[in-house]
Formats: sequence, structure tokens, C-alpha cells
Amino acid sequence: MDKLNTDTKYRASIYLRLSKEDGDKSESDSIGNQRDLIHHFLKDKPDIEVVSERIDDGYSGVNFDRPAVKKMIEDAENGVINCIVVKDLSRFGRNFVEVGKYIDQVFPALSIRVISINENFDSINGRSQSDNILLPFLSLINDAYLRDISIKVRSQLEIKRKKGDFIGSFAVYGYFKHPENRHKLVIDDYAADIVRDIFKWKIEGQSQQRIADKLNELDILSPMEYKKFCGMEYQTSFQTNAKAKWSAVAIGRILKNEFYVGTLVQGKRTTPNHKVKKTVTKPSDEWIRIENNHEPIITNEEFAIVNELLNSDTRVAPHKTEVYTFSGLLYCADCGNQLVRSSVCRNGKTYFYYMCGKNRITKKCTSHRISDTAITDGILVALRQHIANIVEMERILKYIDTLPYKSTNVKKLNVQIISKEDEVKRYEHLKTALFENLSDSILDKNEYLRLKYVYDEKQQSAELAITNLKQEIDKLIKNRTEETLWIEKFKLYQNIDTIDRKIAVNLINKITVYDDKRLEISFKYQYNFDLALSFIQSMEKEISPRNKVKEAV
Amino acid sequence: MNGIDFEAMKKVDVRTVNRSTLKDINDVVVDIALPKEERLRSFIEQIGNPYCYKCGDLVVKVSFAENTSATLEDRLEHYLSTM
Repeated sequence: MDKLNTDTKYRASIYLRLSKEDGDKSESDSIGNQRDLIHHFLKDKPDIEVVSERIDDGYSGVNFDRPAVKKMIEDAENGVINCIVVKDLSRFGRNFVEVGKYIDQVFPALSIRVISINENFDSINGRSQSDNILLPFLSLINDAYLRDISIKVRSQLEIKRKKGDFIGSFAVYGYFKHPENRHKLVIDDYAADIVRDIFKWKIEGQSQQRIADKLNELDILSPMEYKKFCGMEYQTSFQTNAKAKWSAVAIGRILKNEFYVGTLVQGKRTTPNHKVKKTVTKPSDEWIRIENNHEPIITNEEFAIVNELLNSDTRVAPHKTEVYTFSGLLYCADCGNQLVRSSVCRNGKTYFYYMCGKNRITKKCTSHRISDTAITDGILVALRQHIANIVEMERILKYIDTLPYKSTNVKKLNVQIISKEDEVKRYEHLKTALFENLSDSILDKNEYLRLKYVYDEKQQSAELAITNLKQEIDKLIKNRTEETLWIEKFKLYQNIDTIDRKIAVNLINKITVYDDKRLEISFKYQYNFDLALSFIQSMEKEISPRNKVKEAV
Repeated sequence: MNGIDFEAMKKVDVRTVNRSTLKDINDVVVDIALPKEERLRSFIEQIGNPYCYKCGDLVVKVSFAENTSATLEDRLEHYLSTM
């Protein structure tokens, strides 16, 4: 400290910090008050000249990862300042170990004078006996204060999670936070429709990438852009493009999110303690899951089907938009690998067949070759017989009559077209205004061209979206007629006559293929011939006991 | 139709079963106008083993889901609801 005593002028930095998190809520701790107190204290100390004021507003004292404190320490290291003034030590930091390191080692080594007003501590005076005992204690108490708050907050959040309160900063895509209770969620009709489409397209056999491309073509805002559009202050350091687009990963995340069936899953990640900011993922059995917590967007069945599909390895063939009917359902009985589809040309006709994937690559399994027609036929006949003989057709026909005529999708797209048309008009106006600004010399030519380019681009993407939306409507109407036809036919023949991807994934769990044209179909529904038959027989006994002997074959 | 051993039928090994002993599902004809019970009975009578049969020159073994209460009616309704 001798050197410091000879220095007549001190170049001081005053440091102010206020945190929202660690409970510095009292008025005395406001930045303004800290500043006033320090300036009042320095009034009669002409040897101290304030050269900088460093403020960390909204930063916790738990660590030194604060921009202003970092700058101040840098200044100290570079000799720009040689004195630091704070209202109390807890402003400088609450981390016992780190604060001790700076006060006892770093600053003395750099000959920095440290003044903490409330603790009546000034390093120029050296340390009294009581300082030596008191300072570490104060520092320890500052630290304990943090720990205490952390425990309170953590347990409070835990209670909220267990209660089924949503505690995320932003609602999951497809939901809004309830306007009156931010811990509850309500369905956002617009986004929920998109989520439903995403699940539907996946079941129809489209890949995540294809779904993402499709949404981008329709100029539908990605969840991040949608948050911004709704006026939420969402920021991320991961964004790389000017406008965030849909990606296959985002689609995959939506398809796997149990949130959409009404299950609230929280507490997936945590930090080891309040001083370490690094998050770690908890094992999934420690997550807090609350079923039927909010209104679902997707049914459990649909979610289950989609997640089985995600677990199987499927690939959309080149120049196709959807996977083949049985993709991901066909397995080799001997090695467990999936079967792969191939084609062969004979006499100008193309035949498709499946064979064991392992056989094709390594020849370590037999071929298990089976024709596409044989499989399709085997499954179609089985399903037709089940539908004809074990289904209560009355119930299904009645159910069909309750189905609403779905015009909502077309309406939805029409609304989107109108909003895109408005957008096109708006950019047209903006461009006119821009040109006027150029004529009035408010803008120079470069600025004009740059802005015009931006508007042109946005206008073009809106125009493209309109074209895509119109095509989508055409497709919907065409599908509608196909679907209506399908239902009409089903009602008439009370059966199906083809198998598409959607039927396959709804009704079939797995098809195991053995050598020598043998296969096992495992269905997704339960049935027991034994029980069904004995049920019928018991019914007959009750109705007409005398027929019993006759009926027994 | 009493005394049919469905458990034994379920256990038939699709790898080793003799093709010629199996009935062909394509030959099964059931009148859809019959009540559900009659249709089921007629189907079982004609197919012999509803868990293992022939379909053309294909040997087909059938198994139903065990970990769900969903019936074929439920699955069909779900399919129809997503159309």
C-alpha cells in the first residue's frame, strides 16, 4: 500500500450494479441512488477523480460475467484507473470466492485502491484487525444471500411445475399464454392449424424436410418469426439468416413434442447450482410430466403413429414427395433389418420387389425377396376380410355421418391469400413513397436503390406465396373430391379397395417377411377370435337355450 | 364350433407350416348382409385358422396388438376423422 500513499491523484471508476434476479429490490439499491451516494461520499475527497462510471443494470452478482465489470477490471489491468468505488461489496460481486480473490490478490497486486462505502472499507488505510475478520464474513453473507434466493426461487418454480403451471418465457408454438394467467395456455387457432397440418403431412408420408420446404413455399412464418410477428420480444443467438425459415429440425421437434397431446413436460434441464450457468439435461425420468394439463391439438393416436414413424428409418425416393406405402413397416424375419425396395424391368414392364437390406449390402442374410404386388395383395385381402367380418359396420357408417364437411382448410388458405395480397399492395405503396423521397432529395440514390431492393424482394416473396397458396387450394379441392369419393365408395361397398400410406400406418404395426414367400402381419388393433366367438355363444345361450345343441358344430 | 383351440392356432409356426394344409383366404366368401355374429362365425368356419392361412402362394400369419385397447373400429374412425 506504500506506493498508493504517495500517489496524490486517483483515477477512479465508480461501479454500479442492479439485479432483477438476486433480490436487490429495495429502493436504496437503485442505480440512481448508488450513484448519488458515491458522489456524495467523494464530494470532500479532491484526490479522487472519477474517470469512468461502469453500470451493470440487470446483472446478477453471482459471477463476473458482466460487461461493465469486465471493462473496469480491464481498465485496472491496463492502468487506466487505479481506484474503484462501490456502494457496498455486494455491488462488486456476491460470489465469495471470486470477490475474495479480487480484493485480496488481484487488486493489491495491481495497486488498485478499493473503496466500499457502506462497509467503511478503504484499502488505502490498510486492513484493521476487524476488517480482516469482518470483510470475509460480509462477503460470505453476500454469497449466502444469493444461495438463499436461489433455493427459494428454485423450490418455487418446482412447485409451479408440479402444479401444472407453465413457466417458460414463451408459449409453445400452437399456444398462447392465457391473457389473465400467464401460467396457463390457450390454443392459438392459426398456429394450431399449422401444427395439425404438420402431423397430417407426416402421416401421409412426407419427410420433415419436405414439410419444412412446403411451409416456406407458402411463406408461413416459422415459430421464431411468428413470435416476433405477435410482438413478443424474442431473441436468440442462434439465428443466422435475416429471416428465420422452417427447417427439418424444427419440424422434427414439433412432431416429437408431447405438449401437443396436452402433456406438460417441464424441468428437462437444470444448472448444477446458482453459480454455474452451464445447463445440464436431466434424465428423462426426473422430468416433471403432467398429462391432460391443457387442451390438446393432436390426438394421442395420431401422436403415437407419428412417433413410431419417426423411429423407423424411412427415405423418400428421389423425385417423389412421399414415402412408399409400406416404408418403415417391412422387416426381415431373420436379421431384423428393414427391407429395401427395388425394381426390375422385364419385357418392357417394371416390377417392384422388396429384399432384405442386409442381404443387398453384405450378403450376410438371405434375400427374402418378395414382390410388391404379393405384399400389397396379402395385406389388402387380410384387411378387407377383417373389415367385412369383425367390424361393427353400423357404428362406422353412423360415425361417417357425423363427420363435418371440411371447408375450413380452404377458408384458412383464402384468408392467408388476402393477407399476402395486402402485403403486396403495402410494398407497392412503400415503393411509391420511396420514389417521392428520392425526388424530394430526402434520400440519395444509393439509399433509394438499397431500400427499393429490399421492398422488391419482400413483394416478390409475397407474390410467390400467393401462387403457392392458390395451388394448395386446388390440391385441397382435388383431395376433397378424392376423399369424398373414397368415403362414398366405403359406404357403398362397406370396405376398402386399395391401401394408401395413411391406411397402412393407421392399421399396421409391422410386416415381418420370411423366406419362401411367408409373412407375418402385425396389426395395430386388438382382436381375439376366441373371446368374440365365446361371447356370441354365451349370447345365444341366453336368448335361446334350446338352440345350443344345434349350434354346436 | 365349440372346442376350437385358438391358442394352438396362434402358435402355428409360419416358417414351418405346410402350405398344403392351409386354406386360401381368397376362397372365403361372406355375405355382408348377415349380422355381425354370423359373419364372424362364417369367416372362422371357412378360413379354418384365422391366424395363419394362405393368400395365393403366400403364407400369411396374422397377429393383433396386445398393448392397446383400440379396436379396428376405433382405428377406422381415427382414419376417417383425419381425412
